Amino acid sequence: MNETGRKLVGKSTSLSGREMVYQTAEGFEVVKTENYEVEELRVFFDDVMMVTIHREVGVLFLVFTGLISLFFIAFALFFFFVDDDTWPASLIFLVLGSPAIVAFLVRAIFRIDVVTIFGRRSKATMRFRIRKQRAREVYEQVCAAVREAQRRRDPVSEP
Amino acid sequence: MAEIAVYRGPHCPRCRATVPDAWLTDGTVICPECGGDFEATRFTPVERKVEATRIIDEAPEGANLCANHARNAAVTSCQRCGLFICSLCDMNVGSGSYCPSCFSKLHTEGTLGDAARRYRDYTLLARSAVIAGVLIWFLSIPFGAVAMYWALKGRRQRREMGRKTFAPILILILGALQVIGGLALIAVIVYTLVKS
Repeated sequence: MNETGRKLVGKSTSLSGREMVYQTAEGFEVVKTENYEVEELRVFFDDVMMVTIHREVGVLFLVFTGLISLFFIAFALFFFFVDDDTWPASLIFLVLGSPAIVAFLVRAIFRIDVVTIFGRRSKATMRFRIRKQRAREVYEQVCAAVREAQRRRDPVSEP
Repeated sequence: MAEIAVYRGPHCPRCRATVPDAWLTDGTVICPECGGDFEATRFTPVERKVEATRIIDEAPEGANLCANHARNAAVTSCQRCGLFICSLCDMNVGSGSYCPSCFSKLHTEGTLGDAARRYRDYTLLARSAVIAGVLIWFLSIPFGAVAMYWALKGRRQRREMGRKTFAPILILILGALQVIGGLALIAVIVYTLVKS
């Protein structure tokens, strides 16, 4: 926990925005940043109805980075084969396209683990691109915290 | 009317299809809509019981009474149905005063625009994509395509909100020009290289 009494447990970034999920004593705080707007939501432990975890590829991301990669690779190949002296140009295209190529490969190989906390009135989403173990840990931590909070509130229903 | 993304409870994390309560179970769940699987842990939160405190024991003589709380003096009336409501019933979140039932109805319909915390402005997104396409000119094709897609969504969004659609149409044209320009640039480069 930091000085504000909340701890970052996960985040979710997309092309259009970012969502940071913090754990507090009462529940989860979700700070959504989309373009220039910031929205703060809370998912209280008492309100959590379901927590899920699943693995997805993100087709749009793959298509987007794949197309960019193809674009640069095509040009790199073109310059590589068009003449013996033009190979530096192909190298430049490969370097320019390398972020997209790496992003495409990382996503295709590792995929993405998504932990979603569904409350009564709001939800929190966390995405884990590489750290799969961390995703599982967060999922279990969230379930344990919610279970404990709801057991404290309603001790009778707990077996 | 404006369509506002309203959270309606647990849904499939893959396709966002609303899940029936029956298959909210622990363990692996397969969505009947998309066929995708996910691992779920279900909880049964305790219902909250809110007890409204009485503002006054007796309403002042001559004052209008709240339709829901006979002992409370009305402070305003619902903008939608005109019902007299007390300060307990006044659901004013910057969108004007509504009684709880009207507020709930409008919120469910997604038409309580001012009460919505935020919505995505696709026109703004499209504009950013067009600017990015200009700055990163060698990626003008994907940026132009994305700008066109968002501009179309923005146009629909603005039309539903009853706002002018000039900006998304202009961005749509600019996005199309970017795509055409990008394709033309590639054609010129290839043509020049082949010719030389």
